[in-house]
Amino acid sequence: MAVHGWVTKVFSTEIRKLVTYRFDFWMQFTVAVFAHVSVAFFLWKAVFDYNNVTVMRGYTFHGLMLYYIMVPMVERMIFGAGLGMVAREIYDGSLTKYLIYPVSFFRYKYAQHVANSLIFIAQLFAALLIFRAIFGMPAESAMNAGSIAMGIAAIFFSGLLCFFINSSIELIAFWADNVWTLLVMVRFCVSLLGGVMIPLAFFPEKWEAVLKYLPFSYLASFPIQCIMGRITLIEWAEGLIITGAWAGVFMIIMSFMWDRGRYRYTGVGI
Amino acid sequence: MIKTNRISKIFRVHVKEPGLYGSVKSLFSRNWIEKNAVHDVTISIGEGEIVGLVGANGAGKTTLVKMLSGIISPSSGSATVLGYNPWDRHNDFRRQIALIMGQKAQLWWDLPAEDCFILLKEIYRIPENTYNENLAYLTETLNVKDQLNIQIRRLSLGERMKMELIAALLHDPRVVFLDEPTIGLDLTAQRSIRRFLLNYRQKNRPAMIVTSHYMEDIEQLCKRIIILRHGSVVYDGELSGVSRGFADHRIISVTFNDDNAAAGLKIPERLGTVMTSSQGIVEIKVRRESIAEAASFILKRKGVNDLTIKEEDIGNIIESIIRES
Repeated sequence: MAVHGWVTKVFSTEIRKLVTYRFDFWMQFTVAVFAHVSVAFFLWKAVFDYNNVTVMRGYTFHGLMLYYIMVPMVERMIFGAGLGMVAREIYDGSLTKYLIYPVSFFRYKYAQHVANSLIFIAQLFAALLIFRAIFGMPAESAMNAGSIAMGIAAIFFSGLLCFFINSSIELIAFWADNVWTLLVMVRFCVSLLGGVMIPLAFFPEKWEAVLKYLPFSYLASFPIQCIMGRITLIEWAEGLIITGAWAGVFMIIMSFMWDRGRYRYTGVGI
Repeated sequence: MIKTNRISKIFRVHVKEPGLYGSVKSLFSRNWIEKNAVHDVTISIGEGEIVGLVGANGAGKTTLVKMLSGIISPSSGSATVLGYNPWDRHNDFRRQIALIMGQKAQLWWDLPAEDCFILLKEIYRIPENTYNENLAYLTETLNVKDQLNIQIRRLSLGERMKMELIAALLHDPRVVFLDEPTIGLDLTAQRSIRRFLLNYRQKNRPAMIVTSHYMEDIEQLCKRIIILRHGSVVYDGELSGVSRGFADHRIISVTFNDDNAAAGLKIPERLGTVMTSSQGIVEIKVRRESIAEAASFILKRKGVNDLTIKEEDIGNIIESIIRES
């Protein structure tokens, strides 16, 4: 029986766990969209009205709303639902059960991460369909099957990068019990420098050029731009290469931390 | 099957002064102490053996189990389990062991037990036939067939523990570590789990290490015990040998014709002390070397109907060993 046997089962088990609480599943969707989009709506409406323009940095107000409706969905798909889980497992000793299983801990966790991401595709498509039905697609959007496929591929790469970044940070829990603040800092950096709060097009051009080579924009902005059809094929390929390179760097850091940290594990609580 | 050679584990523990001042102070400077959880332990356990690991809280039982199952690594010394170094966590090693922790649930809280078992079947690469046979045997013996499709979190503590046992034994482990398997369970559930473990051991012959604070677990499951005190082994041998090695007293139980005769029994201090006296039966704790003299003294009293000499309760002996400082 090959590796894919248990990976598939971990994957399907995780999906079953997530849909066990369907009320929570759809509430998360509603609250995330409502909270994010309502703030963006009033803020940007004021900005557009004040400047008396219809297009800013290549975005219409309509296009910006499409961007903001996708942000919480895409961010959730990339970050998964298990942020802080590994650190918590090290802290309270739940890691023990994974150390007993004859499988790779990170493959197990990554299968959970992918399951957590994929289930939110349903929410992303639901959000897009609702937006399209109510408001129609913005004039500047070139969204089509190809751009969506490019976006999904970008989300896959970004999810891998995010998994390695978060794991590297969470493994610090082997040395320092509580790493929640560090995880929040990464989330904050992604929000600010990754295009969650403001699309990167609104940053000064120099900043935008620098941010292109940092990992943050690939954890939010880049996949959204892909889906919206604002990225050329060359830019997409470049983006995937940069994402892959950062993923490689953080994978090495994660492996190093695991090799060192696991000997410090004390398995408290049993 | 399991061998350790002078294995030790030292934990570095942060000590904080109590109160707000202590908390603030610990932000700037911390005091650390080294705790010798396991010290120079050398043991050997063979195939099919079931060994009780006994000791007070903090004696090092669980730390030793954690090292042997590969969860933590030792500070010094070496160990092999099934020929593997446990903390290398080789997959072939992990496929042949099981760890059951009474205080820590390992199954997925939100899933029905059967879903968890199917996942474990894939993780441990259990062939379909073996899985079906084992699941049928384990669920029937533990009488939980009807609970297989209920979410783990909705099961009673006893049922959950039974599911944990099934999950741990589905892959026919050759070494089973049981850390307090009956903790928190009512008497019926405790008995049923003990009965199951005895049957399972007879059928499958794995090596088993059991830690428990319940003497009944140890007495009924284990022929051999290892007593740990402050991380070191103070006894390793037959359970029955504990009395011979450590009990310097025996109990003489005397039955009198009536309560007055019983109440009138006065034992010289040099021979022993009366432990209980009720309904005409007196129990006297006597030093081993004084047994003959004490029995002869008692038999000369009036109204003696019966006299029996027995070993001190093994639980009490073990307790006195593990509490001794």
